[in-house]
Amino acid sequence: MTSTSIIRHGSINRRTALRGLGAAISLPVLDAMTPALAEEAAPLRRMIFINLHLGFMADNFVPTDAGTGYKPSKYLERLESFRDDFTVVTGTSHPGVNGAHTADVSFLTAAPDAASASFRNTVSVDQIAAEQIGQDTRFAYLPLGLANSSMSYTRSGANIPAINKARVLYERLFVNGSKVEKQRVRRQLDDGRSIMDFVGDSARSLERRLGSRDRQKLDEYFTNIRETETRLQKSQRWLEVPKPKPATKGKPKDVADRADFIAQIDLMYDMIHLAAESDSTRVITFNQPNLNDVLPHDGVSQGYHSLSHHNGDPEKIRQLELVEMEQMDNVARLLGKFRDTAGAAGSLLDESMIMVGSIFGNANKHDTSNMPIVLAGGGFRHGRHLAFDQTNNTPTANLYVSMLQQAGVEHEQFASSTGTLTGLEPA
Amino acid sequence: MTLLTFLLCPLLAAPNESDVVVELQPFLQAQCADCHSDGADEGGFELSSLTGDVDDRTSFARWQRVYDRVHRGEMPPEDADRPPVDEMATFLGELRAELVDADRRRVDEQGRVTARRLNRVEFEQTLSDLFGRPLDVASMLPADAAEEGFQTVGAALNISAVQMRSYLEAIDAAIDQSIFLHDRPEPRTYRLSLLNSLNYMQTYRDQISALPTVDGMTLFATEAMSHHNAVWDHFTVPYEGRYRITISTFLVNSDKPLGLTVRAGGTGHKESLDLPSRTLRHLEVEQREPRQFTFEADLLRGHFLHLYPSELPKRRFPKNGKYEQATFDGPGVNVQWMEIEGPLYDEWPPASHETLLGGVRTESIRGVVNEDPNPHLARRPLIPADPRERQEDWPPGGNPVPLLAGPVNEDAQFVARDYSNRRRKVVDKILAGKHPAVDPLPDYDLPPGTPLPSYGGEPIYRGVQAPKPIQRTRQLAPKDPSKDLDRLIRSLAKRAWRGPAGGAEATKYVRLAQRWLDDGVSFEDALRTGYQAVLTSPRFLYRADSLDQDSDGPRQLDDWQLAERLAMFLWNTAPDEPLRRDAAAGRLGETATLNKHVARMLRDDRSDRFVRDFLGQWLDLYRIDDTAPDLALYPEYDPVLRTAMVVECEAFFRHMIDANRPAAEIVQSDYVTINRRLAELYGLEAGGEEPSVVRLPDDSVRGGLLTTAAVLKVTANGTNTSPVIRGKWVLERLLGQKPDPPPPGIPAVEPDIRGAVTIRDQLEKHRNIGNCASCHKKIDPPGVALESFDPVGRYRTNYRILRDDYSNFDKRQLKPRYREGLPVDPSYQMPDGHEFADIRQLKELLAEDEAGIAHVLVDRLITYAVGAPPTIGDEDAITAIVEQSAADGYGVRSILEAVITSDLFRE
Repeated sequence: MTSTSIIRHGSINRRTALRGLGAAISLPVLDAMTPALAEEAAPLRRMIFINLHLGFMADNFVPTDAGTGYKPSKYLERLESFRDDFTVVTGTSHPGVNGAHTADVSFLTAAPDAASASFRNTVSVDQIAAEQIGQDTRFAYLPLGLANSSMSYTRSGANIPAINKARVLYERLFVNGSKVEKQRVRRQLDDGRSIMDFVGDSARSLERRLGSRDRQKLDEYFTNIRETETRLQKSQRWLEVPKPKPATKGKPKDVADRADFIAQIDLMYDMIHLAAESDSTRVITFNQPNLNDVLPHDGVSQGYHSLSHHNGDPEKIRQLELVEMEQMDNVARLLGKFRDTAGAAGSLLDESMIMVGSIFGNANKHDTSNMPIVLAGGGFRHGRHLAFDQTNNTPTANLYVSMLQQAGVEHEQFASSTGTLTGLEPA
Repeated sequence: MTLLTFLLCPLLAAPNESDVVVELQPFLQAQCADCHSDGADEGGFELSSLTGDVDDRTSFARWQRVYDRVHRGEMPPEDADRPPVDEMATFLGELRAELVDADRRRVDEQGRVTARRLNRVEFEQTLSDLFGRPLDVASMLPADAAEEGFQTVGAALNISAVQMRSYLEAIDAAIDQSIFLHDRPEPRTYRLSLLNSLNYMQTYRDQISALPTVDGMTLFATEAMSHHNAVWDHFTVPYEGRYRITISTFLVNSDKPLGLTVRAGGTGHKESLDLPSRTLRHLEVEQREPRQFTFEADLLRGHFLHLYPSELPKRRFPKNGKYEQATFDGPGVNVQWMEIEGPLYDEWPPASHETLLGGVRTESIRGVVNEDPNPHLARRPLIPADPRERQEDWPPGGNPVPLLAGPVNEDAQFVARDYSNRRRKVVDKILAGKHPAVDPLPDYDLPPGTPLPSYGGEPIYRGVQAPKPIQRTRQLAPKDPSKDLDRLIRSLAKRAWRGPAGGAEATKYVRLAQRWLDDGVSFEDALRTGYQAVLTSPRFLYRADSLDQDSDGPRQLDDWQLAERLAMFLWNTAPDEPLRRDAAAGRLGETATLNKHVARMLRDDRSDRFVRDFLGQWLDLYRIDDTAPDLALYPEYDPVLRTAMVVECEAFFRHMIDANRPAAEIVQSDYVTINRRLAELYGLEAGGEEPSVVRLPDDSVRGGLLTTAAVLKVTANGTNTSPVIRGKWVLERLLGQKPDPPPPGIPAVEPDIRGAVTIRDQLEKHRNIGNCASCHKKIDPPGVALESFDPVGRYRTNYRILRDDYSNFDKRQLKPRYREGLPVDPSYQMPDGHEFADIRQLKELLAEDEAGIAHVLVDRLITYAVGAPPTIGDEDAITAIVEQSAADGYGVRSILEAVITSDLFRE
């Protein structure tokens, strides 16, 4: 009696995938910790993905003409001083991705039909990247956000919890624990490893009593135990390496006004800059979830989400515009920080691909076509509007493949991609 | 190997000689090929994508879809020639038989459920019950994926390295929360008053919606307008534990009851933002005479208490110095005082400590003291419950400071200005430490509720910080560490692993911890390592009832597995002692024994977890806060209503179980289970915070889960409603049908609540696009009928739209920002052409299919309990369960019992 075909296929895929993962992780750790060695081959690349849940009103975002000579739209005027450092991408979306506000779980995974009962998410693009370009830094990736869930999803489609407090992130990035604390962490990591090691072994005895199907399911458990152990080991090595000094002085103060999401996002952008600048990580995701706070700015009196469903109401549109302008200004500040910081060669912006976007082309109608996207930095030839067909969209995953390749990650295909993004080329 | 059971050549992928082909092929060729073969792939479906291998899951799913669509009469489409009835029946019969066979083979070979771990809810609950205290760790774990809407489905519950590491951290945190190495805190009682809250007093003269009275504080507005730093004398919860809270309160300018929300931690409490916020109660204040409410609550060290009448609107008073609060005649709630007593422990150290460290000798650590976070309260005179009962020598020891302001003055404006000037000086002195921290108390001889415009007597406290974490005042000093280690790890493993005791296996875990001890690691660290290993072992993390122990033939759960499935189903936790006893004795499989346990478990309060968790997932009640209603359009919504909504559904389902009410009441009933707040929304009569069963008038639009405010809220997006979204939801959740996702490129239909276009017109247009009609004629009817309810579940005859001039409204004005828009037309027709006028008639039509509704409920219960959605091969078994309950009118309790004693449950 052999197992049926579906099981066999499934597990081969998974196992192959995990083997790849294991291989990437078990690089000689000492090598992996001296980034200089790796830099010889390819320029250092960073990937930063930013999800602004409610997106931007298309009329104010999408430029009317395409190409290099495009006239900036109302919103893009706010980024005009970076004109040659970014590309605006319109007319792309994730095929089959829908489901109103739940759809944003697919922002970096492109998994279709999030609202359906049988939906299961798939791996996000940042995780694919982190497996390869995340090995040389203290953090393989940083999943950031304003709430509990991040934009990052593991290979099994599980959401990775977000770090949502700037203060906590700062401590992880820059604060060396006291000797006692270090000892404690070392102990915990030791514990963790030996537990994983031990539990793995002892579970084997259980495995022998199981049927073939469950043995395969448990395989997932063992693989992950091994991986957890490897990661703990890596954390342990990094524990002995002193943390870098931040470029700016002083710990961040959490924003006291919980409704002021613009200030919170700005603070997180600061942290993204500090994390990149100190080379603590090469892969960052940021998730600004659906919010209904009333931004405490003059002229705004209604919740962000309520405003997004403006249904053409001029007052709501006026207020929403104020909020979206602030979002753009935040992005401009972020790009400014990256451009003003020197990287290994050129500016930090040249090293870092910063993708800002939303699952919604039109949040008012929960329309997931025509995602608004700004792609800055990262060594691409910028300064243009890549305008794809508004009615027959190009898969956004094509952009992700282009970004992966630019980061030196050998990937021909990701999720719904049909190739790379036409017109987006390395500088 | 049972592949290639049938293939359909030459239409399909490969040639084949099976007899089935002969019978199926002509039908497919004649009925389907025009649109679905030779390059034609309407609806994205081509026959050649079907392979004959029904044992392949993808292929099986495709065939199943073919079967479903033909079976439901959707294919061939209406405008095509219909095949003769007998040919259709033969085709369906043959195909179904193949699918059922394949399905049976799959279950036989692979078992019903994919091996699965505990989900977050189960993990936290099981660990809590194991340790013996409510733990707060679920939020440390990644969110669980769901399949078929349930987070109990094995196939979706994967383990990742992120997950694994979170387990280690969560277990560590759980241990931290469970051990108590400090001296038993003495319970203390404080009586607190808002009069003693600095920030209230500093600002009340401006805009704040509160009025100090001789005996307390009258609150006129909801949370957003309350003062977040007004934290009751700056009282900080000193120790984690259970507290008894008494609140004395009465209504002001209102005969209508109002909810008074009591919350600990969370928004606004900057000092305790890192602690989880807990809404403790919505007290139902019903009378103008002071009344005391007493309740108990679990609080955390560092929690601040916060309290506000959350049904009242946002209101701010004009900043004109006129102190209009004193003459305001709108509704409010006066809170005289709050008394808090605790922490209360049944035993010390608490049971969880005994579980983890029982019998380990401890010794005192010298010089460590946990500072009392409330030293300022030790010297403060108590505010009497009723000023008329105050002691003779009030305040004790007399007033050290002369009165700042004169007696209550009619000219509040003058007094207020005078007061604030003089007061400022004193406050500065106090903050500089040049003045005692208590100033004079008010004149208490006035009747309760009397405004206190010239009040100037509150104590001033300097900035209060959240207290540091508890320090240990005792340390572990085991006499014989190895022996303790051995005993404790064995004892935990025995209870943590939900199966027959595995003494030999536990030995290995003891040895692991022992090895650490031998290496010079501290006793506690070694023990923690042992515990973490026990609790990350698959014997704890994995559901035993999802792991097969042998691999031949159809598998029945053994008694231990059955015990686990049952306990997880009804209690979300590991089997308790009686279940374990019967499992060990091999008696649990007997139907009589099983029924006895089911009855016992449903009587137990722990079965509320089943009601909450099952409804949370089935009806999306867990997502009740996913969208926030637009308060300009729906000012009816507030936290009291939100809680009432969820409670209604849970009480309704509970009632259906307890009274064995027919499953059809999911759709339609002649009663509802509501409290006072929901009664107001529904236009019915009911009182109190707790729900009660209320009979409905004959013409009511309510009755049944379908028209509960909670269901209507989770199916709307806060601003508007969509018949498509609601219709699809009803179809999937309550009627058990799965409409296909819309084809790509079709614009979503969103109501235009401003314009002149009704949603019906838009739908008509939409329906005519491509092949939308076949799904929409089923999706739309329930959706259209439910248009009679707005996003917060209120019945409406017209849509509300924002007034054009609302943005010019003064923020302080409370007049509605909306006006009535287009009328709602809830009439429509069923897929079979049957017309209905409104939701009442729709519900009648739907409720006719009693067995069908029962069928869906059984299907959902099986998916939730077993961890795998039933498939086509299970339909007969489900029908049998449904029929078994028919004699009891498809009573929900009978259905539950039939589910649990069924083969589907035991496989």
